[in-house]
Amino acid sequence: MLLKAPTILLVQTDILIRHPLAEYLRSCGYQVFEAGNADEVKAIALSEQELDVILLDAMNGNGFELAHWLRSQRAFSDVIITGSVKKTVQDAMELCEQGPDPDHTARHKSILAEIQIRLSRRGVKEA
Amino acid sequence: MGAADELEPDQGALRSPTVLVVEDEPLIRMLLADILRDANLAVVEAISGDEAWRYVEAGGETDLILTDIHMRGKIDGRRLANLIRQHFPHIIVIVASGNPGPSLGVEFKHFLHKPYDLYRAVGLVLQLLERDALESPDNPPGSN
Repeated sequence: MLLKAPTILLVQTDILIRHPLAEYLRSCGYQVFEAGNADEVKAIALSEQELDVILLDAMNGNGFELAHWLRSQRAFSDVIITGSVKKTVQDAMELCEQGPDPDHTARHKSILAEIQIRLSRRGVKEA
Repeated sequence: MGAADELEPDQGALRSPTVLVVEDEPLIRMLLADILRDANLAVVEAISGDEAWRYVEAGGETDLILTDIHMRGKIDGRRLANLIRQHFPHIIVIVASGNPGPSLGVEFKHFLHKPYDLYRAVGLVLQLLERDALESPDNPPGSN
């Protein structure tokens, strides 16, 4: 029997953090949906899409208001509010350990380093 | 051990081609990304041209970009496509628009008229990546 993978909505405003984290969580067996701002979160939350966990960037405080809204819409989803990159990675690691494929914990050590390298490569010139 | 050393095992490994999907409609982007992942491609999702440019400029793996044209932000799809053409000419770009005007199909080699069939779009992506792989220096024409 095929079991449906649990779903995570990953809300993170920075693609250089969001993408590696999303891939990491996918490697742990989750189905991951990505949102980059509050409008996207609302569009996804108002759709029929099933969401088990919402990992929500605090977004300079706006995340708390969004979390409140999400809880009113999605009482059945767990909402985890994250802050710093380290805290976000820590929360992702804990989700991974509880996930369908926790064998991917080998990547735990490198995920924070990978994000830090990506952030350090961030271009300084504006397009 | 430094952060860079910890990434060492992944470097040089065989990898699936990476497609950067740039679309500000999250449900369309999610669906397209899912179908591309099912086709064994690595997928990066960007919500805007600004994000896509930030990712590419930071050295993010990208073999092909499929971008919408009309998006909010400093960099719309047309500008993104032109920046990529100028700075990263090896990256294949497909532009998509529901309101292309007369010049878009001429301006860009690979164009999709929205609304497009998602499976047709994925077919075009696979076709262009396959052609690109065959034409790469490791696989000169006639080597197969």
